[in-house]
Amino acid sequence: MRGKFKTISMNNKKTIFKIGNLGFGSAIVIFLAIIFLPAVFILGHFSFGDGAFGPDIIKAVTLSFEIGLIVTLVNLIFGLPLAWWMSRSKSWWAKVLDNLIDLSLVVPTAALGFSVFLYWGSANGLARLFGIEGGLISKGPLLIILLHVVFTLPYMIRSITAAIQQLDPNLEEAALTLSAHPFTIFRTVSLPLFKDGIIVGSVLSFTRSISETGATMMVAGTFMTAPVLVVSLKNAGSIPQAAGASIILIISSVIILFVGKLFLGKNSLNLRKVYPNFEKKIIGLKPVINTVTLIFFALIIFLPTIFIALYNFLNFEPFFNSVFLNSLVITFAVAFLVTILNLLLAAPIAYIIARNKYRLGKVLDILNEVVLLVPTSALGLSLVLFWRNFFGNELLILVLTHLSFSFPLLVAPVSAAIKDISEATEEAAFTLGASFRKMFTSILLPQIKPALIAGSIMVFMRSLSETGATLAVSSNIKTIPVYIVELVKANELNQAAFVSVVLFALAIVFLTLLKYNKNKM
Amino acid sequence: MPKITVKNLVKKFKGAKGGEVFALDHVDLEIRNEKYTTLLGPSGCGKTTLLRIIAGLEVPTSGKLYFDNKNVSELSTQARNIGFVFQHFAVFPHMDVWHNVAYGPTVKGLPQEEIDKIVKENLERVGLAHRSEAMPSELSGGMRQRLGLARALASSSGLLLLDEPLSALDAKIGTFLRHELERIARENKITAIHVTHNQIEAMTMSDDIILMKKGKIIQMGSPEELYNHPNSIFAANFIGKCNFLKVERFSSTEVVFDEKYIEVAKTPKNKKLVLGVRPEKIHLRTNGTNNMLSGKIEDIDFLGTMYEYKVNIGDGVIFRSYKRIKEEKIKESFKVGDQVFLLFYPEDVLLFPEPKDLESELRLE
Repeated sequence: MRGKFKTISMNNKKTIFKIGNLGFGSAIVIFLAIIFLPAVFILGHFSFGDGAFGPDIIKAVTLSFEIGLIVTLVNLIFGLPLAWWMSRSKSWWAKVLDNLIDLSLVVPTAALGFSVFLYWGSANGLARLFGIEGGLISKGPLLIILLHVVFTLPYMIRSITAAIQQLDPNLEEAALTLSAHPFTIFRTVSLPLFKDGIIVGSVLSFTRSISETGATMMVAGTFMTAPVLVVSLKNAGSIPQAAGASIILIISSVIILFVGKLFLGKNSLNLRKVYPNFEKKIIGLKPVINTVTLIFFALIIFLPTIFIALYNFLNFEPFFNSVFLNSLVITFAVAFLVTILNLLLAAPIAYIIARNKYRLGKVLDILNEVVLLVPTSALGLSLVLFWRNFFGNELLILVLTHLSFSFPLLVAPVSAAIKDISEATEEAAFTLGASFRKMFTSILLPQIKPALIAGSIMVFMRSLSETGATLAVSSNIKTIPVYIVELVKANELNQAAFVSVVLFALAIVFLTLLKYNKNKM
Repeated sequence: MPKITVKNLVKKFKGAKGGEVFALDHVDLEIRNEKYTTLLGPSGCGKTTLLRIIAGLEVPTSGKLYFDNKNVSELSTQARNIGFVFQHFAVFPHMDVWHNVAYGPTVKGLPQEEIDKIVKENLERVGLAHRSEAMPSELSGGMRQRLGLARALASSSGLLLLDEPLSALDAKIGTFLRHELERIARENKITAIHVTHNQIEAMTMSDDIILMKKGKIIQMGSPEELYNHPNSIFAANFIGKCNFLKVERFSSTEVVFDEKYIEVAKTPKNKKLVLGVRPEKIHLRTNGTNNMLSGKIEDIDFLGTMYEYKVNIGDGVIFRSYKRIKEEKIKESFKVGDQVFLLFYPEDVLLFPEPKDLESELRLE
């Protein structure tokens, strides 16, 4: 009786693996052919000469790097105390802040760029408060930095708070019982143990800053950052130069990622110096630091983010025309299509990563991160160059582009969710006679549903708001963010504000969905 | 090396349903200088809260705390000069063994030579001197807790607080470390307060046991006092094993159960009583009198050092009896199904007033 059962389940297991291999194999092939290869295709599409590394390009790349560095530094200086306070304070203030901190992430970047410009740079922004004609800050590097801080700070804060939450609270208590004072504990115990979060946050801040296109175009004026230059070179038909700039961006992003990873997880710090009296006193500065960071958040992050809504209140100019309608339809159609295609492909890839199937987990994980870090305008250009070899349908290429850059956003949370589920639950289902498909749909799927929904909303939002890649891909098709860029360029500020707010409002609806879903988990 | 006095200590928490829960319910106690004291009780009895309040890691709702008659209630943890050992070790994972132990003296700003001396001394005390350059991740659980102990000793002025220090360890290693802990505490004249839910740990290590339940102190005393003279059904049940039976008072030296008149040393005044006898005080006999409890053997368990006989004495009440029997003699001894009489002596009988609900009194949670 026992032996019979065993053979049946063995056979079952064999078929499970057959079907599994076929499915996983094709998922990997599709991933490589549609997501990864097109994204890095540009690396092969470039020849020295042709002024690919001309002075304009070097200048733009240098500017991008300088801005990225400053933005990361600002994020560190203000993000660290803010993240610490948010994680440790029990006040309702901290809870409010926790809900507000992601706001700039869900505002479509083109609308965000415009909002930041209106706040700092227009006559109707802060300038009016001080009675200054024209804007307070003119378009250029300073305004770019202010903008980038707005949408990269959430990455820094989220990375750090996630790492702080992983800390064993007993360690800080242990230091307390050993007579260490709060600042000493922070410096010698907590900080070294959550520094991984700081590194991840810095890498994300930096790479997001050097790759952002759509919002940057709104505030750059005559200055060119590398992604902005890529778009304008592509529009001027200078493909080799655009490729050159893209390649520098891609390679530098990858190098930064690897350097960052190199520093991760190395805990070899020894306590050498302690300044008991000095560190005992420094804690007195805490209220000052907290106040300064809160003011920073309110004036530099929060108000600029929502300013467009206020502006629209004062300069309400609703309108509707066929271009607007067309853009709206295309934007949402692409976002829906991309989300659904992503869902189909992400689950098997996430499974391979989480369970390290065929020992490919690590490799696929890294490939995904590379795609995530490739600047979207460079990515868009790469995809156009790749797909143009096969067909010329702009809409299809647009969908494939959005698929490529949004794919990692879904895979990351889903694979993390699968990793959290013990493999023993799967084995339990197999021993009870479930086929792989049955196990997946009845055991895994219900458990990873929250991650799938959260990931899908992120994909949808990213697709909705993406500007740089869309600009690089399309010449005739307009999505809403592209339309906003055009309206701003044509100085139709009130109309741009209206369109932005429409997109903003839709984004808020999805943010609410995301939060609701998070709470349910 | 202080004596610790706790006066009218109260700690309230907000309960799940919004009500207030007493973690500590007006506790008064005195912990003796240079003695090993355990706070013993089931989970949720408030023992860890009490320890954390002594350490200054938690603030009491009201009440006072004295170290050597000095009020330390308002003192910060840093200023209390304690050593604290954590259940899950809480050794700093990013520092090697040496720097873990050096942390306390360093943050207190001691000169380097003195720090080196203290670290060396305490690493030797716990037997880790040869691993001073190892990272905690390279150490076994037992070694990590030795490190936690060395770190606490290096920073303390003679008061050592231990929060379930052995319960995360493998049973054998835990038992071995018990003796080490006790030895180190005695040799260095340390006042040790050790929180545990393990009654065997408490019995073997302590000078004094403080038994707690639901935020209150039930009984305090030496292990022998608590074992031999438990003041309540809970104490008798929590420390060691005990058989219980509802009986009625008959005279000053007799109680009655099912028309059997059981002789005891002295009866309390209450009419309804609960009789308690520890299993090792019960002897099985083939023959007996009408006044002896008797029943059928339902089960025999081999416990290694002895056999446990479960005898059904009627009304669904099971009495356990421990007996040492040589392996070759077991076949001639009692078997399942045998009718036996239970013999025990009057001085071994514990008597308590009958509680409203004996079942719930015997639940340990």
